[in-house]
Amino acid sequence: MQISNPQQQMMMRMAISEVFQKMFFMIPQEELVPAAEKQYRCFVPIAHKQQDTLKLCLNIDWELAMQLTKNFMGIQSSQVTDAQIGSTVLEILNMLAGNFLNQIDPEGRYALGIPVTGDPVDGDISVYEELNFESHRLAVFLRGSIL
Amino acid sequence: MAYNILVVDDSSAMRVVIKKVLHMTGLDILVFEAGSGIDALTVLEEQWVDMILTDIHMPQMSGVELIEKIRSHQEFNTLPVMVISTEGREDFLSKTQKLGVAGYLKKPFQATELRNAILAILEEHNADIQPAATNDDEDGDF
Repeated sequence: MQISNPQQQMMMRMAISEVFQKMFFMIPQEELVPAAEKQYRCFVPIAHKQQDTLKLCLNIDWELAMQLTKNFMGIQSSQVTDAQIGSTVLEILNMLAGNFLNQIDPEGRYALGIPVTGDPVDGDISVYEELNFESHRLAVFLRGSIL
Repeated sequence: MAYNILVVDDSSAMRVVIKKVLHMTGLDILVFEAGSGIDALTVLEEQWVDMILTDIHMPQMSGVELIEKIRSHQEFNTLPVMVISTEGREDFLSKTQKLGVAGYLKKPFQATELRNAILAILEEHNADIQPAATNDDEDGDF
């Protein structure tokens, strides 16, 4: 995986850590495990007047998504629905993206869009970070480059 | 005293979390929900509320547009509005300040931060409020 900007990767890592520590009391594990076959994939557009829209993408193991939903909404595993998982993961992405942008673009040149489910393939990956929580994998990456 | 509070967020998961925190205040609170700024205006046409908690990045009508609409109505121009958003950039913060928001909390937040912010705003706008005893030793779990 080609990483063009280690500083932006560090900011991404900080954004992920802040969201997971504050909202879920989880800290990332050092060792990476392989990504699960079943994942929830989503992205949020990040727009700029002078370039194509960037996309911040989140791929998260389904099992981790389910655990986060359970904790976030205070419900039992048996009560968790796919719609609740979707809503929780999209909100997590919204918080990650907001925190990342606050650090990387304090001047407000980029506008954060609305997170949606999907797995875009267009645009080179310029920042990539993957972490493990509770022995499950999540990856966050930016398609397109911050100017 | 009972309070009517309107929670505006396009994330149903986040609305659940905010409702839980509102119940943690120990106050008698009736919660109304809206998934967009447009839905929020519909609620306001039918229901008096004492406070609005709103997200900013929402489809159809953003939180900023919602606050602008609210402020343009004489009936609502002093209604306390608290912004709960991932957005923390200077431009945005000064824009919301100009619109007279009563408070701002950045996502992600801990439950105790939100509870204390809500109580502080209600206290400021309602002299007779009796906030529930707060225990900051709680872990702030949702």
